[in-house]
Amino acid sequence: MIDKALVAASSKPIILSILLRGEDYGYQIIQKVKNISGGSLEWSDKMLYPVLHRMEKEGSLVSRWKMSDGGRLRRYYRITEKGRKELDSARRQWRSVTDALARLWKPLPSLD
Amino acid sequence: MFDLDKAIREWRKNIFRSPNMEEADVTELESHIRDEVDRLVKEGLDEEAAFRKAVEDPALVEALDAEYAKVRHLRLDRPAWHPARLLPSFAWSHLKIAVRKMRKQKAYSLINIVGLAFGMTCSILIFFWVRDELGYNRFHEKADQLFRINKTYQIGNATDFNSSTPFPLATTARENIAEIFDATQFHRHTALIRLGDTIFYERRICATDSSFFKMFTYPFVLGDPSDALSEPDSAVVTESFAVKYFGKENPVGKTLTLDQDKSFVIRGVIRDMPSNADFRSDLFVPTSAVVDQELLEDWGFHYTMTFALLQENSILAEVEKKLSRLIQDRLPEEQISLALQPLGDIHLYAPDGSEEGMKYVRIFFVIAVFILVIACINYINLSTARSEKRAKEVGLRKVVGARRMQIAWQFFAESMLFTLIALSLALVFVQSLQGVFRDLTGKTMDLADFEPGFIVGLLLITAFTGIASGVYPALVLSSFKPVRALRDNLDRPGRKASFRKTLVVVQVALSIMLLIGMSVIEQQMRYIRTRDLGFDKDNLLYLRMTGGLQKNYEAFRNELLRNPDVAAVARSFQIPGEMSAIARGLRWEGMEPGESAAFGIIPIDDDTMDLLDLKTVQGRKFSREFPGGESDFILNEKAIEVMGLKDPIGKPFFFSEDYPGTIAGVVKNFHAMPLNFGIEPAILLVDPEYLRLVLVKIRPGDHRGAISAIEAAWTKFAPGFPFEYHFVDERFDLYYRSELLAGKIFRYFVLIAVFISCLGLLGLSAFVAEQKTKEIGIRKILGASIPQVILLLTKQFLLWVLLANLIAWPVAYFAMRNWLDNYAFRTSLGLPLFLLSAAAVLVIAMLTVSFQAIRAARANPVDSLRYE
Repeated sequence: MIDKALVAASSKPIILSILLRGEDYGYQIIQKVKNISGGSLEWSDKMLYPVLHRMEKEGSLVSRWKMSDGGRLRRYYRITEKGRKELDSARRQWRSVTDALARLWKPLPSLD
Repeated sequence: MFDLDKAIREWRKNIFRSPNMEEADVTELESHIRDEVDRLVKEGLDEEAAFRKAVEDPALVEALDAEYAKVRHLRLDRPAWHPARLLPSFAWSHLKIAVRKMRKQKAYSLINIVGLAFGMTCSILIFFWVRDELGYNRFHEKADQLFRINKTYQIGNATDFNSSTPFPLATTARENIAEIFDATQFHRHTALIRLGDTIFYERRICATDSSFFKMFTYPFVLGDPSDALSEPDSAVVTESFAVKYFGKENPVGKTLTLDQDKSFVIRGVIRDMPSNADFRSDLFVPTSAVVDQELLEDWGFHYTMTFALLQENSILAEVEKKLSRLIQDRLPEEQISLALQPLGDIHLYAPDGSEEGMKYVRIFFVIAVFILVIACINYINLSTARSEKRAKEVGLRKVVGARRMQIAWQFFAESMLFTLIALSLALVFVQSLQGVFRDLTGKTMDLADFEPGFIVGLLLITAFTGIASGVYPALVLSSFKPVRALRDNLDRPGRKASFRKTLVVVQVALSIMLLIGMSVIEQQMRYIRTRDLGFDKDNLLYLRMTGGLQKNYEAFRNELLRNPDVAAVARSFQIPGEMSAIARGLRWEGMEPGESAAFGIIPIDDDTMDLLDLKTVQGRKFSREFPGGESDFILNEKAIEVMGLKDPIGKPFFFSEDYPGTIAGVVKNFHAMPLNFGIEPAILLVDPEYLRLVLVKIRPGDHRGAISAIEAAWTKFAPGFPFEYHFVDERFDLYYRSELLAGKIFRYFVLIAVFISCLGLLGLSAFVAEQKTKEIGIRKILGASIPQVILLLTKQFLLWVLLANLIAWPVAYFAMRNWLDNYAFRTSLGLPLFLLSAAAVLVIAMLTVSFQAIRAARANPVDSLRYE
C-alpha cells in the first residue's frame, strides 16, 4: 500500500509521461501504470478520471472520442505543449527529491 | 441469464442521478467497466461476477460524484459558489449544467441572448403602448356610463358620420329622455387672451357647461366641481396654466379677458389631464359666454360634441331611438339619426365604426408577435444546430424512459436560463429607451408602473419565449440516435433538417413582409404629401384676422404686396383643404321634389381663386375685375354632377329658401378636404362676413425675408396682437401625423427584425461552415477556388431566401391592399416595390452569410482534415 499522498503527488507526472509516448485512454493508462509499477500502483477509476478531467481543464491535456472496431466509444487523451512544459518542470522537481533521497539512503543497506 | 447490457443500463440510470456527472463522463466510465469486464472474463470469471467486481459499491458512487463535483467546481481563480437550495435538486443541476454550457460557448450564447433580448424589448415596449392606447379616457369614474352622441346624416348622395351636434341637444336630451341622467356639450374654442400684460392666442380653450365637471372626473385642486362654470363669467384652469401665468400666486379670483371684450374670473383649478386623455384643454369657459345666443338655439348648426351620462341598466338601442326621434322632429327635412358611442371606444374607433387608434393597436400587436417569433426561431435554430454538433462529439446513446425526460428538461432549463438573462437585458434596454419612446409616441412609460397586469404580461412573454424556444430541441433532440448519427452524415436532409429550413424560411419571410409594409407606408405618405390637390398649397401661409385688420384690410394687403417676396394676398373662411361648413336646404332647377342636398361651403374673397390657382372650366371666376356679388355662386364639377345640370351657367341656385342666386361658374374639382375623403360637392362664394383668415403666398426660397416683412406690416396694422403664422403644407402634414409616426416606428421595428434575422443567419452560417469543414478541406485540396467554396456554402441560403419571398409576397400584398383601402386616394402596389424589398433582403442575407463563408473558405484545408 502506497501512501495516499504519494499516489496523489505522483499521478500527474506519471500520466503525463505515459501520454508522452502517444495518446491513450483511461482504462489503458491504469493497466500501464499497474504494469510499470510492478503492481504496487493500482489506480482506481475513482481516482484517475477526476484527475484526467482536472488536467484537461488546466490545459495540460486534450481529449477526443474514438470508436473502436468493436463499436466501443473511448475517450483518448493527448498531451499538449503546456503539458510538456509541466512535465519538464515536474521532472526537475522529482529529480531533486529522488537524488536527495538516493544520497541519503546509500549507506543504509538493510532498507532495501 | 445474466444480461450484461441490461445491467449496464441499470448502472447508468443509477449513476445519472448524480448531479455532477455529464453524459460524457458516464460514457467514459461505462467504457472502462466494459474493458474491465472483458479482462476479468479473460481471467476466468463469468460475466456476472466480472460485472459485480468491475462496478463500484453503490455507496462509493457518491464518493465518485463528489470527486467529479470538485473538478466541476474547479475555478482556477475564483472560489466555489454554493447557491441556496431554492429549487428541487434536479432542476438546480440542470441549471448548473446550462450555465456551464453557456460559459463554454460564449459567442453562440451571446448571439442567442442578444436576439432574444431584442425581441423581448420590442414586445415590452409595444405592450406598454397598447395598454396605454386601450386605456384612453377610461380614467373617469363614470366611464362605463358615459357615451358620446354621434350623428349619421346625408350629404350629397352619400351617408356620412361624425360627432358634430347642435348646441341645444344636451339640455333637450337631458330633459326629455329619462335614461339620460345628465348631458354636456363642449367644443374647442380659440381666442385671444389677455392676462394682465400678457397677450396670446389660446387654441385649446374648452367651451362647455356646468355639467361637464360633474360627469367627467377631473380632480379639483381649488374650487368646487359641483358649481364650476355655473356663473356665466366663471373660468376653470389647469395647474400648469396657473403656474405658467400666475406662478405661485393663487389664481382663484383673478380675471382674464377673451377676445378683448369678454371677462372671466377664475373660480377653479384642476389637476393636469393625464396623458391618456383625448380632448385636452387648459382653460374652460361657459359656452354661453362665447357663442351667440342665436347659435345656441339653432338645431341646424352642428358644431359641438355632446356627451350623455346614462342611468345604469339603460338599453342603448332604446335611448338611441329616442335621441334620433328628438333630432328628427326638429330637423324634418333632413335624414338624420343619432347613436351612442361608449367613452372608452372613442380613441380607438371613429363615429362610423371604422378603426382609428385600434388600427394601430392591431398592427403593432402583430409586429410584436412577428419579432418575438423571429427571435425564438433564432434560438431554436442555433441551439438545435449546436446540440447536434455536441451530440456527435459526445455520442449520445438512445435514451429510454427517464433518461429522455432528463435531456428534455435539460433543454428547457437551458432555454429558461437564456430567456431569463435575455429578460433582464431587455428590461435594461427598455429603461434606457424611455426617452426615445416618449419622443416617438408622446407617452411616458415607467417601469415603476408595476401593476399586476404588467407583471402578468411580462411573465407571459417570458414563458412563451422560453417554452417556444425550448420545445423543439427538447422533444426532437432527446430522441436522437447517436450511433447512427456518428456513422451517417448529419447533413443528409432528414426530418430535423427540413424543420430547421422551414424556420429559417419563416424568419426571412416575416422580415420581408415587414420590409414591404414599411416601403408601402412610406410610399403612401410621399404620395399624399406630393399629390396635386388641385390648388397650390406650397409656400402658402395663413394669419388669423383681427378686428383692426378687418377694417384696414386693403391697406394691409397693399403694404404686403409692396414686398417683392409676397406674391399674392387673399382671404378665406377656413384653411384651404379643410372645408367643413355645410349648407343644407339647397335648391336648384330641376330638383326632384322631396330631394334634399347638402354641399360644402367655401367662403372666399375676390383674390382667393387666383391665389390658389383654381381652374375654371365653365363660366367665370371671382376676381377683382369681375367680383363676386351676393348672389353669385361658383360650384365645383362634382356639384354639377350631383345636380345633373346640363348648362349650369346662369341657372338659378338657392343657397336656402330665402337666399337666391345664380350659378356664375364651374371650377375644376380640387381637394377641399383631406385625402382620406373623396371629392365632395362644394360651393364657392364671396362673403365678407365669413372671412377669418388672411392667406399670403410668398415666393419659393428663403422665407425669412418675406416673414419679417409680413410681421412688420402686422405690427403696423394689428398692434397689440401677437404675430402668429402657419404654413398650410405643414398643417396638412399634421393630419397624417399618426401615419407618419406609425411609419417612423415601423421603420425601427423593421430594422430590429432584420437585425435579429441576421443574427440568426450568422449563427446558422457559422454552423453550416463548421459542419462542412471536412468537405471544404477536401474540395480545396482537389483544386476548388475560394469563390467556388463560398458558393457551396451560400447556395442553400439563397434558396431559402427565394422561398421566403414566395411566401411573403402574397401575404404582404393582401395586408397592404387592405390598409390602402382606407384612403380614397392611394398609391399603387407596384411590382418594383416588392422586387426592391426582396433584393434588399437578399443582399443583406448574402452579406451576412458570406462573412462566415469567406472565413471558412480561406481556412487551411490541412487543419480542417486533421481531427474530425
